[in-house]
Amino acid sequence: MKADSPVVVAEGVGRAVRGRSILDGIDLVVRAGERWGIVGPNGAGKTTLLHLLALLVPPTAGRLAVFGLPAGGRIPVAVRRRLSVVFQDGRLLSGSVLRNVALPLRLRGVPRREARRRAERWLEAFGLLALAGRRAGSLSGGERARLNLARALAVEPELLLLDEPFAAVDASSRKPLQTLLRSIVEREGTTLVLISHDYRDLLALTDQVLVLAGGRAVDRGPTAALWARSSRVQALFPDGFGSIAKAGGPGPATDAAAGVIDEGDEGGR
Amino acid sequence: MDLIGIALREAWGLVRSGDAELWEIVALSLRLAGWTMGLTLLLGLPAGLFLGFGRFPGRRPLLFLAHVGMGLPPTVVGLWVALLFWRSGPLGELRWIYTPRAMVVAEVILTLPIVVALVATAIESRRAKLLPLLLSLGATPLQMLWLTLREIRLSLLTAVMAGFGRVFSEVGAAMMVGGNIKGETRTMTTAIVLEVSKGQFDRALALSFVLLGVSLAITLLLTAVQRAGGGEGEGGGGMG
Repeated sequence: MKADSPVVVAEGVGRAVRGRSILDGIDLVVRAGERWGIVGPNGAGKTTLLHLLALLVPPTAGRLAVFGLPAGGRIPVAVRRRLSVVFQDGRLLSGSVLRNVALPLRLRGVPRREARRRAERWLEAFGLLALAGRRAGSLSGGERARLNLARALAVEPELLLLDEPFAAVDASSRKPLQTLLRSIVEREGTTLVLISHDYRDLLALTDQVLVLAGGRAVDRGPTAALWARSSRVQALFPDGFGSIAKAGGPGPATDAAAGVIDEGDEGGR
Repeated sequence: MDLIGIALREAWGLVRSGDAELWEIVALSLRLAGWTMGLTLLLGLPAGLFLGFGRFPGRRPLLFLAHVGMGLPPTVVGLWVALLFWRSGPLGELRWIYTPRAMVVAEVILTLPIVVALVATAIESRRAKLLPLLLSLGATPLQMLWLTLREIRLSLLTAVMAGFGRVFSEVGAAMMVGGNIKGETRTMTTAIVLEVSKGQFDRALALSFVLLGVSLAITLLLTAVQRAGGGEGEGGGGMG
């Protein structure tokens, strides 16, 4: 994709479920190669926004285009295959670690042997090659997080959407994993949208941050500068970069007051 | 205890001697179960997928009906199917009454709700997480269908085992629509009932041991398949 061409264009995008607003009036343009972070208190609509960008749910208001394709209608598989998602709960398929990484390649018609070779290369990059034959369900939280990243990157996506990818990673492994991910997205020119509850992840991996609260975009700006200037962002992390406030937070209203459904709720429907 | 000992010896004797009547009964029971499960899967799998994936008005009542159907009384089903295929019944011209075909129809009615309900429930419990994952992996609709079936394969096997169990243990419907005709519609369960009615408890017990042995063998076979297939979805963390 040509540098600077828009990958995501959202104009007044909203999403409501059974009449209750989860997201409202989101404007966002993400250009090819840009790295965006999304931050906000629990229930701010972060995951819903990510699912919208992943073309998994349609907007109920506004206009959203991903790779130039308007969201809401039938989404061709070819468009879906240009992006990868890592879900908050680290979803894995049954079978081996290797199968989990090779499967999306096989779905794209990559021959079995080639898919295996490429999957093994990605597993090696994420330090999981020795576990290739293990049942994916038997992995620890940290291994699972690395497997999810390996699977998402193995298809060489143009747009990478990550929802709390490091939540289960211990403190000592976090930095090397951030460095590895940063080097890959820089090398491949991958467009990145990252949700995190840890501002250090955003500082390490993103250049721009969008702040959500009560389903609305309440602030945005360059990652480091935003931290320095935004009392909203600082209020989200009262004890430092890595400890987001559990409830309430900045913005015109808390989620509860705004009647916002937790984005996790929608996934269960 | 003497009776059980005698019955065990007779059961072993029947198996070892290759008793033609016994093997005819076992073969018919297996054939009946095979046809029933084949047809049930053919009809029940798409119906279960439709109910599990679909979002349409009336889905919940249909799912409720499937759950209710899991407990359908075999005698009632037998009666209705018998009336259907009775010479003067609406399908009497087919001349299926007292044939294995009518028995298969009755058994399919009894096992279909089990497969439909178990498949639909297995999909329903996973769809919220599985569908977005498969979409995000770039699966086509056909690939999604195949991968979903693979992810719920243990539930599918459970449904098959439950269906087999029902066909093998059921006697009311088989008796009513099959008539327990020697060499034609006599199954293991109907043969046991006949032997008891004749006061031949040792032979009835011997047949019951054979029936238990066959049921156990099928369960062991399906369990082995289940284990070879590995784990199913792991729930919250994913489906892996």
